[in-house]
Amino acid sequence: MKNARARGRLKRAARLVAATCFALFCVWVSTFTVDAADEGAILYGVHCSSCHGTDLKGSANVPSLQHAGGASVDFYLTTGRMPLADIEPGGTQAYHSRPILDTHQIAALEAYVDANVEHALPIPKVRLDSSQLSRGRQLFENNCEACHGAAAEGATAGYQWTALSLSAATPTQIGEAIRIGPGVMPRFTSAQLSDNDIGAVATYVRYLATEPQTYGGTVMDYLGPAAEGAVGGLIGVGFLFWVVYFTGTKADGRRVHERD
Amino acid sequence: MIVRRIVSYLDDRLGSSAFIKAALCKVFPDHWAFMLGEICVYAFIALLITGTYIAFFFNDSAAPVVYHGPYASLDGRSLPASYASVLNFSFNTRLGLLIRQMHHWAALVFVGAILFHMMRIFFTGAFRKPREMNWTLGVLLFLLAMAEGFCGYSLPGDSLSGAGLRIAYSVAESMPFVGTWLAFFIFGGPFPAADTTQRLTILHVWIVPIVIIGAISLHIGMVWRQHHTQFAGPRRTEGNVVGSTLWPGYALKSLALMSATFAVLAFLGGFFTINPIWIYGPYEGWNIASPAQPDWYVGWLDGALRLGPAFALHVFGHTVSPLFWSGILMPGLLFTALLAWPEIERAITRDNRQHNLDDMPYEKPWRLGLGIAVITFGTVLGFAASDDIQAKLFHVDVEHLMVFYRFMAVLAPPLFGAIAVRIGFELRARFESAPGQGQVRRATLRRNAEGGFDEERKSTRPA
Repeated sequence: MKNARARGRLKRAARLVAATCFALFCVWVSTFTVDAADEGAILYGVHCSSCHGTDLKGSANVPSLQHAGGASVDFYLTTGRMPLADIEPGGTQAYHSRPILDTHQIAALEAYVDANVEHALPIPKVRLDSSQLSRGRQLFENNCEACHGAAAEGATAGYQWTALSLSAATPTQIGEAIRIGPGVMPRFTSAQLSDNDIGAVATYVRYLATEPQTYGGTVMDYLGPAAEGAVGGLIGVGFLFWVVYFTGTKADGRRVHERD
Repeated sequence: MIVRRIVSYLDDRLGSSAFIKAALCKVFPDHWAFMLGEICVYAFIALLITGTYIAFFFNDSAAPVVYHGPYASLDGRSLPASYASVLNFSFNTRLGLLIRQMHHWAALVFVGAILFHMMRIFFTGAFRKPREMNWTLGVLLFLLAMAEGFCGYSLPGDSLSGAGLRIAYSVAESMPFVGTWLAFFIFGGPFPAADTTQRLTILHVWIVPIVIIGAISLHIGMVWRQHHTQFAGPRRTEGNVVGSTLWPGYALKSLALMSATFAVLAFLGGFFTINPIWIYGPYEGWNIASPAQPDWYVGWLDGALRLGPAFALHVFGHTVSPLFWSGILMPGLLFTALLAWPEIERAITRDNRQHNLDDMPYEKPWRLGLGIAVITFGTVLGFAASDDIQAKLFHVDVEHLMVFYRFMAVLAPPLFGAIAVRIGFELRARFESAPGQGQVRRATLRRNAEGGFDEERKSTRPA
């Protein structure tokens, strides 16, 4: 049975060699690195190219990215607007939701898009400054509240478009939106709003979000006189109706008074 | 003992005992719907009390002042003095914000109660001879209340009410031929005029309230003189009033209602923010926030402007602006019809008799239908005034909503009116076939030998 033992030993040796080779292969593969631009290209291919095209020029219903750049990529990806959850033809608004990609992947995509478009728009640096609160409010009233509402609570912008609530927006996202003008929002150049101005606006918007202006009770989602009318009617007049209904008819005195 | 001495002191000098005795023994009909008007009186008393406190602190000047105060985002900003005084009243004055909010809620409840009171009078035919004058006076009071509310809403000089004034100015301008002069006359110059706030203050604090007090006194005096109407019922005739005497029954009931009114206004003022002018900011001609509505009782006019035809007329070298149709003509016709309604109905029915017994609403199906149609029209317009909010809440296009409301404003009133007429005729036929004048509240179905059902009617009130 010498043969059989030799065969067994050979088998074990072969297994050992195979395992070693696999381990070495794994170590070798694990040393592979993808540089940021390559990772960006891969992520772009997976998440973006089916709509925006491999040339980043978009198509009939899809915007070109040739004038986008880092600010747009960061805004759309960190707010979860892109990649689109439901792709509908006809260009409905991309609503914010939970971002799919992590910050590292978003940075890689920014690098890739920046490197492959004509006019890259960098991410603005937004500095909050509490001494600018009052000026930020004035700028917000002049430029933002017509669509976003006096409390940045959001309002309809007409034709399927909504100017969204800004309560969840980060300072950077506020700055990016001002510079790129997502959807129907106009874009504001640095000639219209300087970087300092953007910082002031972001200061006021964050102030509204973090310190709710709810003096004197519930503000009813800032729905204004429409909600006030409903509350005044239902609670105020409604309660008094209840009072007169239960006091008015019950005590029937049946005194008779002849008219003059 | 003390009361007795005071009474005899007064009686010796004024001979007042006979009047007081008659007053305390005055009989009020016992039906809840007759108390709706009292809600208006008590809400108005609340308005006078809270308004007086506000007037101590309000500054009616539009001149700019630099605000320094606890409200951080406006600190150091130049604001109209009126706006700054309301900010200070809200944040720095003891009870200020509560009183301001109670005042505003009282206004909403006041006009709301007026509307329900008017509906009661209209649907029961209580405006018929001999009470036509009182109906007309009541409609005037409704107009005065709306005007008073709009003036007050416009006083703080905030962005939202400034936009409302801008619209009111344009509506005044749309009056054919005299519009520009009319607007100048009311507002004191081209918008935004420096004098506007002062003029509105004089109107809101002095002229309109005094006229309202006079009109309410006259209104109640006429009810006192003519006595209340009452619903038909046992022992009730055209010649008497059946109910409780003022003292002790009705007065206590009424005082309870007054307490309830003040209580609910304090509750609303304490727990529900109304008109947060600190968020709206001062009015600046180039700014307006979205969404924007007026208070509800002006909302139907705002809705009419949103839905109205964008159609200008050019006659004799003058332009009649699109605002004229829905801003002046429509409400003008509506209120002319309301003011003259007792005469209009008399012309239709040729009924010249005295009426002290009220109709049940179903007894006059055509009147019921007409009233429902007008209420539906106003409701559609009122909802149209918040179409931008509905668009946001329900994710629909505001443009589609507007088209929807345009159709509704034309189609819904005749539809709902026709349904009400039909229901009125059905109910009338039903009650006419029932014996006695009481309301049928229960019906017993009894199965008969053929397998069908017979209905047995029972009246809750003995005939």
